Amino acid sequence: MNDLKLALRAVSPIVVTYIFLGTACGIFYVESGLSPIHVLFASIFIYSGSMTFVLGPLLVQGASLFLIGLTTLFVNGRHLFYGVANLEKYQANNFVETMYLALTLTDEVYSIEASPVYGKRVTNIRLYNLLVHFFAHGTWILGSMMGALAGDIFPVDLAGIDFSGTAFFIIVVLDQFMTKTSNLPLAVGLGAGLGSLLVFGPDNFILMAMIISIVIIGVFGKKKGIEEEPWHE
Amino acid sequence: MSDGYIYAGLLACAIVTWFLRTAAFVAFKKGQIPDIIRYLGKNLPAAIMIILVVYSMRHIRPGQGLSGLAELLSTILIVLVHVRRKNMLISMLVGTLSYMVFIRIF
Repeated sequence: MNDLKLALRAVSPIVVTYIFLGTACGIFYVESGLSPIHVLFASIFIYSGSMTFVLGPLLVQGASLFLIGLTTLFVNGRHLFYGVANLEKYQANNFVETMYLALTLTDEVYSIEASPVYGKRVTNIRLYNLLVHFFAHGTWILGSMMGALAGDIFPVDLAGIDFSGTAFFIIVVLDQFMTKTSNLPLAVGLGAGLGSLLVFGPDNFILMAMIISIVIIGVFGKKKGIEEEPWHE
Repeated sequence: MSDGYIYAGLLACAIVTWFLRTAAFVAFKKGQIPDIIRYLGKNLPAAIMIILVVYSMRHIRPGQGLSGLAELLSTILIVLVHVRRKNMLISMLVGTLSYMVFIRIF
């Protein structure tokens, strides 16, 4: 199989999610009073689903640019850690390409690349990385524009379609669990996630959960026997 | 909402998002990645993934009516199907469709 087919296969799980989630975001922006051109701008340059539902109301209320920036910092703060985790994944790409890969590193794309089988059997990993990111980005833009231009003619009730993102994350965790590597990072993440959720509540816990995980894995990891190279099968 | 204000707001959001997404890649040049960051890069993904699962189910309130039941049943279905078939697309479709059915029943 060639790299194009492998890239399409890798991206396929999130295509469905992005078409529907993008459509939902496009509809939401237009209902908030933005034009389709604004939605196009947001889908290309912000490319963040979770931010959509926060940014729409902020713009409607005429929030200051400072408040918008600060809110983005908290809502999207987790992206800082995706970069740390993926530093070595883009070794084959030059600086400009790496910047595109970084700017299009969303929750879902990150999940694809966190999978133990990512990049297996690929001959040109440099092209493969770019294709995966580009297909995901393009799907998101397409979905957003469908929502912005034709949201009101959508015939069926799609409530619950957003669970496809959750299902995707569950499957990646499951794949990780089923490989012959240490499950201690999973246990640390689960503990930090649930603990932070209980203490800080649903709106503020994710950054704390990630910081706690970094501290535990980074400081105590080696003593507790977390493997050096857990990605090796 | 003036057109200029909307673009400024979108741009403010974009710039912060760009910063968050590129910071690690700009801070650490290739081949000069400290051991601790390398180590975290290998061990952090699994922890982050399960935090994302918790994150996407963060609004469940256990004990309040049937909150979380649709998520629980769909998750069980996903696990059963995925362990047996190991096909990500099928597992996702089963999970999502069953969830859409469950939230209309409960």
